[in-house]
Amino acid sequence: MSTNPSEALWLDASHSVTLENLIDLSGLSEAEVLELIDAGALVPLDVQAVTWTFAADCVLTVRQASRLRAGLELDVHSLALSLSLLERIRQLERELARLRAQLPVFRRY
Amino acid sequence: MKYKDYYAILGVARDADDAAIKKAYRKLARKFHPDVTKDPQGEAKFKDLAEAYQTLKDKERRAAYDQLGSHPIGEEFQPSRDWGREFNQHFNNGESSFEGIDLSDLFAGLSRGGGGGRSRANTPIPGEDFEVATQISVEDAFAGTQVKFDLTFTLDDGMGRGRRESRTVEARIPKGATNGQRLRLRGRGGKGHNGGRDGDLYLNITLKPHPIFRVDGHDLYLDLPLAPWEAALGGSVEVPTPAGPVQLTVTPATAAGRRLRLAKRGLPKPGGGEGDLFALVKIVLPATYSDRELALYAELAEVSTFRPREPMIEETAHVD
Repeated sequence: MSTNPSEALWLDASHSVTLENLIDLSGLSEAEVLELIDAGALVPLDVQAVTWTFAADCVLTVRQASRLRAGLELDVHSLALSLSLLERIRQLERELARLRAQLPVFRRY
Repeated sequence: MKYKDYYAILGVARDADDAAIKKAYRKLARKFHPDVTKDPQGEAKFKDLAEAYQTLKDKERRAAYDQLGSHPIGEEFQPSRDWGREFNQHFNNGESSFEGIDLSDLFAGLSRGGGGGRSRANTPIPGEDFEVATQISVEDAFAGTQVKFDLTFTLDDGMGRGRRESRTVEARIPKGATNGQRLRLRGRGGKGHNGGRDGDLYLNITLKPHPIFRVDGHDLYLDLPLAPWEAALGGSVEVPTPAGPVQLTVTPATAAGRRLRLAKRGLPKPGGGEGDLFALVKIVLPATYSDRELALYAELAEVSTFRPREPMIEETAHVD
């Protein structure tokens, strides 16, 4: 895992953020973020660690959670379910993109 | 300012009760929420829906809105002096112009946070975050690049009213981007007030389709067309890479469909390191042949013991 210079942060699985960063960037309260962790929507990199860190793409998850909650007035369990379904869709899209990249393109010579 | 009919946006009657308004909002919100909508206009529609709901679900704001009266949608209008006296403190203090103010900002001072401009003077207000989609080329992702866009900032005039202003923002995308990746640029969003932190700029990066390279994460794929004799005899071929062409050794008797790996010739990863470039072997044939070529092929057919369809026929022969 590498940490970014403070200006630009890549929000992907190869970078990490602290719980504090996550709360700060999410637009949610500490209690709400802890609720999401409790409901399994956010998973710390090492649950046993004293200070929790998360993959940086969790920032996208919390921001999405914040938007969904505000826009659709969802309770925390519906929210956790929605987030996991959206993540599943993203995984499938990545897999599709992978398969498409590996398919040769037909061309006339 | 332009009139927006919040009741029409939600599809409810002007005398609809709270329950009806809530139900109407939820049904439409599920359809147009930016995280779930398939509609390209979804985000804009959702913004209108949210604005309508925020106004109509609050008793005070709804009363203020109803008092504006009913106007044709999109028509320019000004709230009357009486309206100003009853609902808008700033109007009371001689601020008679509503220039540059959006309808949605009119109710901002009511109920929420209470008291209008003066009592907000000391609360830290964080700056707006912006999320922007940007498309760059594979070459840009390889080398890093500068991007520019116009953003509409809502500037607080210090009294709780928003003024919209468009500004061009330049940002640097460092090496490491790929399709679907997000980048957070700290403090590049709207300015915070009273000690509130500046907002951030989030870039949603996509890569433009490339004529040669196909992208899979930080790996790249390209088709490597070989003539039959090249695959059979082997040799050295030139292959394009984002950093420039390189020589690739094709071993003799290379099969069609093989993936030849050019290590670390893909896109740079943000955490360090590079993806790979894979050349997919495609045996290709010309569309026309000279007589001499056909003669040589006929000779080859005579000499070769290669029977490509034998396995297929053997398999189906067992069906009784």
